[in-house]
Amino acid sequence: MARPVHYDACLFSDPVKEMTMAIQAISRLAGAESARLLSAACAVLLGFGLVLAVGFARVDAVHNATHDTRHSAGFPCH
Amino acid sequence: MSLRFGRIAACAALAGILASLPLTLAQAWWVTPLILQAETYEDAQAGSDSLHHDSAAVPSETLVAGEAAWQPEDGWQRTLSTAAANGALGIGHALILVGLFSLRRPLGVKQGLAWGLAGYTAFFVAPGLGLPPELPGTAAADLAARQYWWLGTVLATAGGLALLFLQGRWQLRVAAVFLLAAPHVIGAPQPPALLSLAPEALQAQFRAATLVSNALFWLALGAASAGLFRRWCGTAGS
Repeated sequence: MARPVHYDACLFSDPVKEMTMAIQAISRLAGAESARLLSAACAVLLGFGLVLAVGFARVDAVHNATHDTRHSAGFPCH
Repeated sequence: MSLRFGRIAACAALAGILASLPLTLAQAWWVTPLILQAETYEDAQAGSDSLHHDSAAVPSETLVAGEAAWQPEDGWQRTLSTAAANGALGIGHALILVGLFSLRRPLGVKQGLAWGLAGYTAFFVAPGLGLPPELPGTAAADLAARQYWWLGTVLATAGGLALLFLQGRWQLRVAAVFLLAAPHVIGAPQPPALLSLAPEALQAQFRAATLVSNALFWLALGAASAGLFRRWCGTAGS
């Protein structure tokens, strides 16, 4: 019942072509991966900056506006 | 990249605003009335010794803030300012959560609740162990010192929780326990004398109110961030 194996249809029939495709696939993944890391890092840093802007506000008007939020969220206030 | 960051930002903005709504309500009904009550003691003190006040021991905020700076008037201005500050704080926390979700996709809203609990621990419970939320008119150590301790505690707790729950090597888990304990072993900066203008019962009530309202906020934030992330950022990164 076993079928004959067609060697020319095998995965590594054309090593150069396969290698090129593999490198392309890896670099695509690496690009996607670094973009994913970059956007995650941007979001986390921006978020932390926003939290600190509210919690550690120095400008008087902003400091006064965020006063109750700071007390309620447990930030050191004054 | 831009599309993915745009989606993260949109998720975070909506989740942050949604989660800040129950926080603002809880504050309006429960937390802010306690702050206003504490300020009556503060104002009484400011009135009684307006010529010479010992601002190092018990800082009186009405005097520290200065005359020129804008201050929201009690009533809708103050409520609106607090609501806006809550929204900004919510978006900030949501950006951190959703940014991390893009590296480690939450399996569902339940896992989002766990992330919310972790945020509550890192940003509220751990710093609160050393520096509990205080009513206006409570004596405290140097502001900068307390801010550094607060920041260090948040970072150490967040790092500790990550090492404890997001990876499997036991050596790093042991390091996590040290990281979690370190800020409390070092100890938060404390004032030379524990003085408070507001009575102790009011302080206790305030601590309970902030404990509950912040828990509500973080659980809502975790659930909303995870739900929205799964809906809007479903295919990105997978």
